[in-house]
Amino acid sequence: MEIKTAVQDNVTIITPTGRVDTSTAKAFEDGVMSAVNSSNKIAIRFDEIDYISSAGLRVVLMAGKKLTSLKGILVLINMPEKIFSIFKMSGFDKILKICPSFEESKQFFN
Amino acid sequence: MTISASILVLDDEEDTEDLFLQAFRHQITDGTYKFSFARHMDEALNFFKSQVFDIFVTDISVDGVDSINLISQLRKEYPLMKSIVASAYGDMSTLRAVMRGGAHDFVIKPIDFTDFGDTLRKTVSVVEKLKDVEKANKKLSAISDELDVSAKLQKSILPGNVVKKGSIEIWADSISAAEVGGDFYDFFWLSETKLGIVMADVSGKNVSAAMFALIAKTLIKSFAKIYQSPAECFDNVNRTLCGENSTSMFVTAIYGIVDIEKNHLVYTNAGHPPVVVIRSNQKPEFLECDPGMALGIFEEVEFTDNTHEFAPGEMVLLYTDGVPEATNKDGEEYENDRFSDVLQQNATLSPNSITQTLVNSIKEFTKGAPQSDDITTLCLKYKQRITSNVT
Repeated sequence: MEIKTAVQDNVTIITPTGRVDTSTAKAFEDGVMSAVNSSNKIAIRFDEIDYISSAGLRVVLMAGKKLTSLKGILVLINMPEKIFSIFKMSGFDKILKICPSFEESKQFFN
Repeated sequence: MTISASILVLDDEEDTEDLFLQAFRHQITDGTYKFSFARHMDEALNFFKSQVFDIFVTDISVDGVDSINLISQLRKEYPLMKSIVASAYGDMSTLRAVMRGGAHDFVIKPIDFTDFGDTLRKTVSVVEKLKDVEKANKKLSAISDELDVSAKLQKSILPGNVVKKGSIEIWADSISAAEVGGDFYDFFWLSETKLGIVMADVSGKNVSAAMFALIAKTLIKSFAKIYQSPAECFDNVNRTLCGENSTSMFVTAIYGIVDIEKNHLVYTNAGHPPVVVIRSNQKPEFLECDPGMALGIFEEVEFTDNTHEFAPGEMVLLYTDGVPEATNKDGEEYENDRFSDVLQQNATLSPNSITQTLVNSIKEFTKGAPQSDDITTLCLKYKQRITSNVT
């Protein structure tokens, strides 16, 4: 797994690639949390990952909680159906903001 | 980088200490080397009792005895320390014996300190490498200890494999991945006719997951004895887990009550894969219900009860995502289609046999790939009701 980070319109966009599972969750956590520590507007793109396990969901959740406590915003974008079904099964779609694209996530950041 | 090495020098000649202090005065001042000096064997042995040295420099003959035995003894006792032998007379046969006995290097007397400085530097770097290897080994063994502890902990919280009573028969099992996950199942009698069953999966691995699993399991069982409804039980488990969860760990779970008098299952789901019903000659049915939300995340969630009426001969399977998400060496997942097919083809087997067949099919599919997650299943067979003939 690799993590790409870019900044667009004051939002840090994190793009993990490959599989986010037990063996890569730590790297995912380090990447996401370091972004959270430097910016309070974060978008995570999911269209370049093949799979996310519960260890990865936990990282997303941690980032969401941390940002909420910092009055920041986390939006999950470009999520393929397969990844969305994993979020939905755990009930995470009810507490996390999920948007089809970065364009549409701007309503939350502005 | 300055490496600090402690060095013991054993030599009965009076001026040795002065020569060393003079030759290495810069390294002593900047802390690279720390020297201790002994003139007799017993003095040296006293040093070893109280200190750890990286390098031992000794004359080939001390107190009239050659140092072969001393060096080989020290090598056994202090495998991380290296010895350098100083020999005045170029006695090749003794030198060879000392080297064979485990000395790391030698130097000819009178010592050329420029040359000896090189020898010392090289020896220090060897000792440093040895120390790194030792550190890495310790870390590895700590990790394998941790894996061992979590594997034992995980196994110890499982209640056994089998329940048989009246019209029901249950078989449950959990196969741990190399890095133990946080899967667990449970069953416990709530009354003569009501059996609680649990299937759960904690996020994360190893000791932290095993500890969280133990807490979750204990809470579920405790609240199950207080609240009649599975949903109410999970409302309380969830609130309690949310209250003391700074690490954002969570657990997905299903808790159900099998009522052998009313012939139904009342269950609630907290973000867990759905219950599957297996009937002969039919496609297995993944029961639809409100998936709720994993426990330990959000205090305000409310859970709902769902009821499934048993039909004679059918089986109900609870499992963790280790089943559909088992991944083969090409990165493909086992997925619900294969899962469903195996269940359909073996719908008439016993709970034990169908579980075994499923696990074998997953193992066959993932052959050559490491098992990435625990595979945990609980299969309940509802047999034909035994009607009593007593009038």
